[in-house]
Parts: sequence; C-alpha cells; structure tokens
Amino acid sequence: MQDAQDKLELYQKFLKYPPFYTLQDHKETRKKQITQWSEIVHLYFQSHKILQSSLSQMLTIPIFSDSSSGVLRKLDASEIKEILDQMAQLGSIEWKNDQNFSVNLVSPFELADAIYAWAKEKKLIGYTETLKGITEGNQTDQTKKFYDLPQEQILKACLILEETGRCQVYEFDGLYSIKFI
Amino acid sequence: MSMYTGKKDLNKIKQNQKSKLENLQKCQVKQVEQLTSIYDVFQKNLHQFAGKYRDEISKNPDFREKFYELCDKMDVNPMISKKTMWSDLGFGDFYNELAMRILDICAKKYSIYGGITKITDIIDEFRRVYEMKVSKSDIERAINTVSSLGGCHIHNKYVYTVPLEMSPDFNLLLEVAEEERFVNEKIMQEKKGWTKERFYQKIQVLQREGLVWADKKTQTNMVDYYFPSLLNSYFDPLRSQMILQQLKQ
Repeated sequence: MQDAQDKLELYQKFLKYPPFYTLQDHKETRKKQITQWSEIVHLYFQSHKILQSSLSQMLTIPIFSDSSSGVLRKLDASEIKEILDQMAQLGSIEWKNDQNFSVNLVSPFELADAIYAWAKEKKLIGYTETLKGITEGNQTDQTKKFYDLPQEQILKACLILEETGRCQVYEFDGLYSIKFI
Repeated sequence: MSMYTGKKDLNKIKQNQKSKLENLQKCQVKQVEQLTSIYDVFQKNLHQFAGKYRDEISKNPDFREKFYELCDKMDVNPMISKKTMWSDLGFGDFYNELAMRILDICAKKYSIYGGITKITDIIDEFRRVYEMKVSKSDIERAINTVSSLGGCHIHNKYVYTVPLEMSPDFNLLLEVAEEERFVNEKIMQEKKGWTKERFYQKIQVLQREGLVWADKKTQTNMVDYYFPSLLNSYFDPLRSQMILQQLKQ
C-alpha cells in the first residue's frame, strides 16, 4: 500500500537524519518522535523475528546508531529505555521484569493503520466514532485485523493514531470516542 | 499698444481654452471607446482560444503558464468564481480544486513539517499521488486565490499553513538552513552577525512550534538545529555528492 511504503521511506530517512538521535526537549515533539522510534523498533523486531529481548541486548542493535554524516550519533541507554517504556504503553512489548521483555505478535502500529484505513473506507474522516463502535461496528468485516479485539488494545492503537496526527481521542466518564482526522 | 487685455479678449481666451478642453475630452472618450472595443474583441478571442485548448491548458504546465501570462498582461482573470463567460469554462474550479488538494497535502505532512511545506515536495506529491503535473506557478496561483480566507499563504519556496507569523528573522533562519543544512549560533553569527541571544530567542520559538529539531550529539560543543521541512533537501543527491567531497578534503 502506498501509505505503508511512504512510511518506510520516511523512517529510512529519519534513521540517517542527525537530529533524530537527540530526543527533543519540547514535550509534544518528543512524544511524536518517541512514537516514531517505537514503530521503527517494532518493525525491526518483526523483520528479525525477535520475540523477546532485554535492555542490554538493545544496546547492541545497529538501528540506534548512525554515522552516515561522518560523525557517530547514537541513543544512550536511558533514551532507549524511554522508547521501550513507550512501546510497552502502546502495547507493542510487555516487560517481564526490569530488564527483559516480550514482543507482541499483533503490532499496535499495524492495528492503528488498519483502523485508519477502515475509517477512510467507511468515510469516517472528520467524524467521531465510539470505541465500542470501532470494535463492533465492523461486524460485517470479520476480515479486519481489529475485529473482536479487546477494547484496551484498540484504544492503544487509537493513541498511536493520535500521536501521528490521524485522530483525536476523547474520554468522558470512562467512555471513549475517536474523531478521525 | 497696451499690455492690458480687455474683458472681451479675456473671454475669448477662456472660450478657446474651453473648446480645446472639450475637443481633448471628446478625443479621449473616442480613444477609450476604441480601446474598449479592442479589449472586448481580445477577450472574446482569448475565451475562444481557452475553450479550444482547454485540455492542453489543464494537462501541460508550460502551456498553462504561457496562457495565464497572457491573461495577466491583458488584465483578464479567468479564475473568478462569479458567473461570467469564464466560469462556465471551469477555469475558476481548476485552481480552487488545486488549492484544496495542496492544503490536503500540507495537512497530511503537518506532523513532520509542522506547517512549512516546501513547494518542490508538494509538486512531488502531486506526481505520485494524483499523477498530475503541476508547476510552481500553479501552486502560487492556487494558494493566492484562497489565501484571502486566511490560514495559509505562499512565500518564496514554501506554502505556510502554520499559525506562527513568519517574521523576517524566521525566514532568514530557514534560508541559512537551506544553504548549510542546519543552523547554529556560530553560523548565524558569522553569516548574519546575529548575537547569541537573538539566535536562541528565535530558535526557542521555532522549537515550541515543532518546526525545528535540535542535534545535541554533534561531538563539538555546539548544538545544531534542523528544519524537518527541509528533510528531503537534506538527502538531495547532488548535495550529498558535494558533502562527500567536502569530507574527503
């Protein structure tokens, strides 16, 4: 799909872009950046079939450093930990203890993309749908990746959409609504 | 003979001047009438031409550019949306639709470019997504037709959909970043005589808007600042060659 290809190209550029290796001070920019790193790391896990790993192993993987500019830039341990914590928050990995984690087979990033593609197809862009409506509203589309998944997982996927400027999540009294942008 | 001109003579002079003025005015009115009818004929011909070559105009940016240049020279505006002989040829729609698509592209890229989108990136996106050839002047015209609504404007090489007012200082930083690939305190001091305070004051605002990213891992004691809006220029192949050569030296 065009969008997926565009995203990969964008990430390939980021990995060679010097400021990408500095976690930005500005809160919103940092959050966006860490979400981008999270998806890149998850893609790395998927392509290398990594199902579990540890913080110390993470320090050795090649994507966290780049010297294409002539100067070596890399993320340090605390920065990598920050990314891994965000990945856990998004449902991409699960901490087993302080050091070790497992990787979820269902990528929340792919879920997010699938939800957004579904929203586009159903002409929901610009409109608001309830969280419940997203999980159950596609009852006729049992082929959809997010069909019948626990709401919490769907919510996390929607948070990714929010971070990437594709929706806004509203909460009232424990009930969630998603406005697609 | 007396220098004094009597009342009779004064009246005669006034009368002469008056009729000269009336003749001049009659002449001017006639000239205007002639020009108006020439202009009308020209407009009709241009309209006919536009109808005949409509396809070519919408497909070929160079042809389109020449057509609009001609319109500009004759102060004919085919892009007005009111009902006129031009609007039924659909010219107004072309640029309105183009403007909507441009703004769509800027919105789509907002999370990376922060509201400053390079025109060359927009042209690229048109080619890939809409399979349409558009030129820089097309984009200028399109944005100019909707910029009066507010929220967007076009300047130099960029379309701005950013709520921040782009002061000359910000534009200068962008310009220098285009040349040097990034800016820092030293570069702005050497190139534009900026003080440290001025630089950090401006950079902070841009950081808050997400328009600028810091690179603290330069391995010098200087922090470099990049504009993600210039992401694609950073990877420009011609530029990369130039950088490689510089590194070798």
